[in-house]
Amino acid sequence: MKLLTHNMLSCHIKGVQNGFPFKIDPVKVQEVDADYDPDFLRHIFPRLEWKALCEAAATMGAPGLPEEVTEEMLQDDEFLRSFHHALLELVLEEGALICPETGRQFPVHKGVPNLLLNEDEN
Amino acid sequence: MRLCPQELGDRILAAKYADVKEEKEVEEQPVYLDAQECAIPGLELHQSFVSEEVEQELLAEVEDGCWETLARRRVQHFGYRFEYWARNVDINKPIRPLPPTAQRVLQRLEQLLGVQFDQLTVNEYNPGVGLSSHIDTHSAFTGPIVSLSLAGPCVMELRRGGVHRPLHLPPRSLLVLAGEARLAWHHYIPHRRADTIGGRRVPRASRRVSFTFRKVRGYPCDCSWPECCDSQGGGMPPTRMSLAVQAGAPQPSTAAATMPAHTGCMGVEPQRLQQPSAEQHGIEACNGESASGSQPEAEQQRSTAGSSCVPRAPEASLSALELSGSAVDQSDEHLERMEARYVHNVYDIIATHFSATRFAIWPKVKAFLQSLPPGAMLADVGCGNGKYFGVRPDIAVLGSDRSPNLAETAARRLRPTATAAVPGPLARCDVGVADGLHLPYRSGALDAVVCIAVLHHIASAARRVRLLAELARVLRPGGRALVTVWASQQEEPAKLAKWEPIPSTTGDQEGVQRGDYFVPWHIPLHRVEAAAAAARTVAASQAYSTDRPDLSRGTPNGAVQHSPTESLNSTGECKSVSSAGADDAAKSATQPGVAGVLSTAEGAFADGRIDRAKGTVVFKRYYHLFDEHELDSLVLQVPGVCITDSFYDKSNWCVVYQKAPQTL
Repeated sequence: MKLLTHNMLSCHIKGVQNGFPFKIDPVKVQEVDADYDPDFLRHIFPRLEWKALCEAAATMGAPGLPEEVTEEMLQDDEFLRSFHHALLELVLEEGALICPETGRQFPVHKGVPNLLLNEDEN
Repeated sequence: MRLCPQELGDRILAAKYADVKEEKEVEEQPVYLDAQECAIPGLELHQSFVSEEVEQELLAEVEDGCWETLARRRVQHFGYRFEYWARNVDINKPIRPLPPTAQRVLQRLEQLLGVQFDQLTVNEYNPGVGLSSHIDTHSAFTGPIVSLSLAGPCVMELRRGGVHRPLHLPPRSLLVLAGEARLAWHHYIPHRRADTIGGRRVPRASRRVSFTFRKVRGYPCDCSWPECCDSQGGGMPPTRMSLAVQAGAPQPSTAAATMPAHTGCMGVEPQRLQQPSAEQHGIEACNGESASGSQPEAEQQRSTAGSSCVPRAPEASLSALELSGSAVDQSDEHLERMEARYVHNVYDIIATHFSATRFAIWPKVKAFLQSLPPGAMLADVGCGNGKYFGVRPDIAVLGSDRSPNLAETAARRLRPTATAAVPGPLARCDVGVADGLHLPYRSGALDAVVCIAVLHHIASAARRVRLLAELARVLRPGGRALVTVWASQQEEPAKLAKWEPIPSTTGDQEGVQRGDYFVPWHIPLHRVEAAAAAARTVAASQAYSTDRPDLSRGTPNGAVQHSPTESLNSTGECKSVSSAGADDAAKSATQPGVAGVLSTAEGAFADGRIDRAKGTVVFKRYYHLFDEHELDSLVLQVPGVCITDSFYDKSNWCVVYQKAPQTL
């Protein structure tokens, strides 16, 4: 699971008000190579919750993303590369996603989060 | 040319005269060095797939083997013998196993492609010798076909219609032909002594030896290229040898003619190939889904709505809804059990086989994806094996599937292997296990959603509306969803007759047909999945009947097949199993998800049974087939969306709806 995905996920247990963002319990993080595409990053940026991405990246061992992003930074190659790395190249292989409200853990195994709910959570 | 009825038994004698020709100029056609440049879906070329040492070992293993001499090249077969006269294999006649080094290559191929290849053909080409243009018989082999080039290089041309794509195959490279490249493109090696590569004339080496790995099929192909598919009556002209066989001439025995007497060539004696029986041919396309596979542009599209964002009121909406049971909706618990048993569990069991048949990209889905802006966030709800991942490399795709095992087939695409990185277009895709009725995405986060062939597995109208509303919830204002479902109006009505209608079980509508069916999924007994699936079925059914004796009460009439009393041993023969045997078999099954099936909260089993006549393990899947306007009428019950397109495409009803541009 990439942090791009993490940024879109929210705990969907019935009654949960603040299910975003999931806390990450990283047991195994893998770094992969993804094709660097600045245009993709500029296009996807408005869809992201930046603060959540910064925190998640730090949890996954890649701290140092700036707290605020300006228009100029989206033209800056050095920034875009660190953004790219955090968004697409850090993969949570094993671990868990933890609901910030209830503490419920959803396992991530072989890179795949299992977000199925129990019967009483629907 | 003239007929010689007496001397040749009505066969035709043709004599050709050859003119002495100057050696032809090598054609100055640009040769691709990279498979991606060929832009053929399913084509891959892995450079330096094996080391020079492994190359030498592979060559040494076959050097003194039992070569058969064909017209212009020598061949050896392992695993199964390929019969050139029938262009097919006899799955009942396995021959000698692959040599040890080739076995190791086989294991790497399994890691790379997730396919357990079981047939190897070694071809030796002398300089100037090529391969005539052909598509490997669809019914003979399933999955991709891969070919390892050793010793010398060649240029292989891929051809479809008037398009030619020459590709350079250097020594030790691995060519992968999958999907369209395998099923719809001819491949061909020109007969010539030199190729022009990058403007330079490169002579062919003293010889080239190819190791071609394939997986035998043994059941009809239901691909989306019927014109190239022998299972679907299309494609290949008969071979000269097959005509001779049909005419009663003795079978050729190429192997015997060239078999050295002193070597112990076990298993390569000429074997009779069983002609596929009428029954085998009669197996319905084993998925019942060929009509919904990818099709050429739909000539039948009927657009019933413009692109303006104005909700319409379909005339038939009320009656369709009544028929589909929303007025007297059954309890959700029962419906969830129905879906767990006849959808989730079945897909978990059939996942790898199902995935192996899913690669066609539907043009209508592709068109929708192409309409999205760059950098869009897309959810693929019910993504199956993720075949739409990477169609648009410049968007992000969040795939999800309710079946963990199906999600796993998609996840495999996203993992680098020992030999290959994840292809670039997949770098922005991910997959999770999630229920479409409870999507784990934040509201308003996504630009678009596709939900392809999923909604028809949801067991009531109210739940279908909930799924459609859940898709709308995760869309941003102005975001669009594409939903497709199977139509009652199947283009092959004969198919419908083979499906098992499910009568309504609710009080006042008892016995009324609501468009619900059980649609079979057949796993041929020779597939690796079959034995595991059968064992699991037996074990699960025993757990089911012991633990939950009351569970069958709520199921529709006639829907329960309680006693699958047969399992399979490793050679594919049926045997009855004791309870303990089933447990052992289930434990030893290599498929993932065994525990998942047995430990589902429902304790439900997947109603698998063995169909001896067809030679398959067959499972039932729950489907609700949609009438015209029925899908639209459900969308109209979702607040805050409007329909922007609605059409019929190749046995499917399809709708595109948009979330209102202003936040509500």
